[in-house]
Amino acid sequence: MLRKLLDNVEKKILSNDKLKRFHPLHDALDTFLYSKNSQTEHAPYVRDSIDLKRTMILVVIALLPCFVFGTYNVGLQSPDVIDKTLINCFIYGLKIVLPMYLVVFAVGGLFEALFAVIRGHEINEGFLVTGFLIPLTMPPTVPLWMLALATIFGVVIGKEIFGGTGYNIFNPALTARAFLFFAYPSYMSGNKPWIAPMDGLSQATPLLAKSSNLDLVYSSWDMFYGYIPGSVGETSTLAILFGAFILLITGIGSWRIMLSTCIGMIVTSLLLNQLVSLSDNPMLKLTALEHFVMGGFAFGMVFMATDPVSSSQTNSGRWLYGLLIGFMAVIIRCVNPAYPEGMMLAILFANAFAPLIDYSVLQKHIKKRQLLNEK
Amino acid sequence: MKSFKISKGHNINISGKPSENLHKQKKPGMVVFHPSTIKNLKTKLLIKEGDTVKIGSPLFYDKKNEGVYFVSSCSGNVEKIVFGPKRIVERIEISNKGNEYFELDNKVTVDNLLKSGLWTYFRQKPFSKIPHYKSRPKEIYISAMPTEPFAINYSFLFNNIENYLQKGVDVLKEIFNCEINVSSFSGNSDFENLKNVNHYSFNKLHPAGNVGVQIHHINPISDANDLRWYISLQDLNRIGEFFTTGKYPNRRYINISGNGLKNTGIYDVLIGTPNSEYLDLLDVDLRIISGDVLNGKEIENNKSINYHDEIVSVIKTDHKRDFLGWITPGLKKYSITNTFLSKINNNKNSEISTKVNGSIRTIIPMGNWDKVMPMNIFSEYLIKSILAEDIDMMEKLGIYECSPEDFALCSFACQSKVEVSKIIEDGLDLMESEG
Repeated sequence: MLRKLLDNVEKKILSNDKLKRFHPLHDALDTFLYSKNSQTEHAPYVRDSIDLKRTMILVVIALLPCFVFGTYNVGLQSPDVIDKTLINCFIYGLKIVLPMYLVVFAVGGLFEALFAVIRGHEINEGFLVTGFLIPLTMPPTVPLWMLALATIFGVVIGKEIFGGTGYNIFNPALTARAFLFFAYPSYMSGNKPWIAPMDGLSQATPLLAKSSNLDLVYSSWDMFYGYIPGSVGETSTLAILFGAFILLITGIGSWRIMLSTCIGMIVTSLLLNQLVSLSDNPMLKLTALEHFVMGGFAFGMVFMATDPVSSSQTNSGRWLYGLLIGFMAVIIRCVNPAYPEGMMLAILFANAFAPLIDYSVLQKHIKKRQLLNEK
Repeated sequence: MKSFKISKGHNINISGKPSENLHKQKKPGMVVFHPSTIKNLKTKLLIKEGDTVKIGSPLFYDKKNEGVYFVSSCSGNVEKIVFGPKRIVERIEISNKGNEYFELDNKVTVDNLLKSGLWTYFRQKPFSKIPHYKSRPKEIYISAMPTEPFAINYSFLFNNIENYLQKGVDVLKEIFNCEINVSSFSGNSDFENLKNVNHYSFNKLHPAGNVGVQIHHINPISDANDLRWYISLQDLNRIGEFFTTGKYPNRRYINISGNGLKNTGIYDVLIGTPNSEYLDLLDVDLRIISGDVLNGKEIENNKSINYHDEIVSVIKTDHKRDFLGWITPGLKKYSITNTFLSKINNNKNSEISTKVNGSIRTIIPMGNWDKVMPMNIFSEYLIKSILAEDIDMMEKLGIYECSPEDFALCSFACQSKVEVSKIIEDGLDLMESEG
């Protein structure tokens, strides 16, 4: 019945010259509801069942633990929720997080569709993940109009102007966040925005507290479980590790990038620990473990750094890329007091360097080949 | 013997595996040749309709490769020659009446090899084409271990047929005076007694059986003029047979298999026998492929198998569209990735069909190509350089080592449904046309 309806609509769209350009919209809905029926036209005549839809939906599934815990935590942190039961906190959180999702998917989806129609290509599944990531990287108090603006920036400037999914240089979700970070710093940093409602209570995130030499009121376990203020999805390292497990077991997230980012962070923080006697910068004292559970490090490492498009695309390049992120994240956190949250900038920085890293890896490979051929 | 163990690749588990038995197919009333299906061939006919031919009579040759003759596999009359657009020769039909042999000299010389029609069973890397009659190989490769889906089991075959392999090797050694490399499965000693060859072994993981992958591991190709030849084991046997008996060996062994067939197994058929003579098809929507499912070409039932192929695969087509297929657990979805539950029992109950299983997207390096590419080639960069027609880069990244069949699994595994092997083929065509 539904199948027949879709087929009839498709016939109508394709038979009408004016409507033809809107075929990408129909195709998106059609292939969302029913798997595509195209047949192989040349060898290989059989194909694996994996497609980009499946890949992207699995990333979204990996993000679900962060979404669920993050929503709960928004309620937990808020002074508006007096009776802090699981249900109350979660419902309060939903009231804040769901409108964020609605705005992101409505605005982002619209622009995705617009570009697909203008360019005449199918709507790519990439936005599914970008759209799911954007609210999780935002403070719960972010005004919705700002979120809409950031989404448009992320989709259009971060991705579409380069040619769409697969061609972008920077991670679109991070581009969106960076846009707000630089355009509206008072809404994105400091100790105001982390607890909803915005004017209710000011509470520094652990990272900010540390950098301002305040007493840390949270234990490492609090930070690991995520009972701390922060962006919606980033607080619970435990939930992030669940996501990491899904990405690693399905092979979608690069284990090389995750591991090398960790190594980079551990080595750099150990080095900086040695410099404690030379400076009274409190950030230098942070242990690797604290770096791991504080702020957006784990979230960025698992979900942002591993973006296959904006990261390095060669295996040895991935190692270097990860090391660079780990190193930069700690350096920005510790050395630059203006930006205690270094992970976002570190990943964007490494995104910019990824093509150069790959270029060097490729040149090395070519030289090796030439040497072998000369033999 | 030097052995190699490759870790990247995949043996596709597809239903309809060939049974291990050997049938002798009776002679057909007519044989057909399709010169237009042989890559890059510019056919010059030596016969016309109504001519009488014998077994081993030259039928046509390549205008660009004049010394190389294609010969008849039966004796009878040329009934019909069908031309296609631009007068390409699409079909030559010859009635099969007698058993007369064309007189051929079987003294071991290059000239006799060319005249015997058996030269046409050699192919060269790079470019996977029939070698020029003046060219000589640096090495000859023979894979006694095909690993593609529905591959012939050569150990079984050579236990059941007359073995002229040593004679074949000796002939090649005498004519070309080059190294001959034979690869077999690790642990298989059936071909170890062949002398005057270098033995190599690989583990049983496709595409290890492909000559291109073997060359890459044994002695990689450096440039366009670094020629390696290869020939299938059964054609080496036919060369041995010809130089022993002096008669053109006009039969080949064809493995027929797939879930669209009632009969499977190795068929001993006269070269040029139309498929319909020996394929017992199921009455469902299906696809007949000359060659294996990864690298073959679709053909019609009234045609004969493509010239160099030794497998006919017949698989069912599937037009079913799954409701919300992207979110289902996927207990029956075939995948080399860990993204469906079917992986838990290693795709044992999974169905595989002719569907693309997704929409075409841009190249996104998820690592799926890497899982099945056992050669040290930067596939993503090579593919991009081919798409950009950057010849210099293609050479630097090793295009001459590549063949479409070695990249077939990349096309198979790609989540963006990029036609990797097709792009490699286009790249090689471009390199060849640029000289």
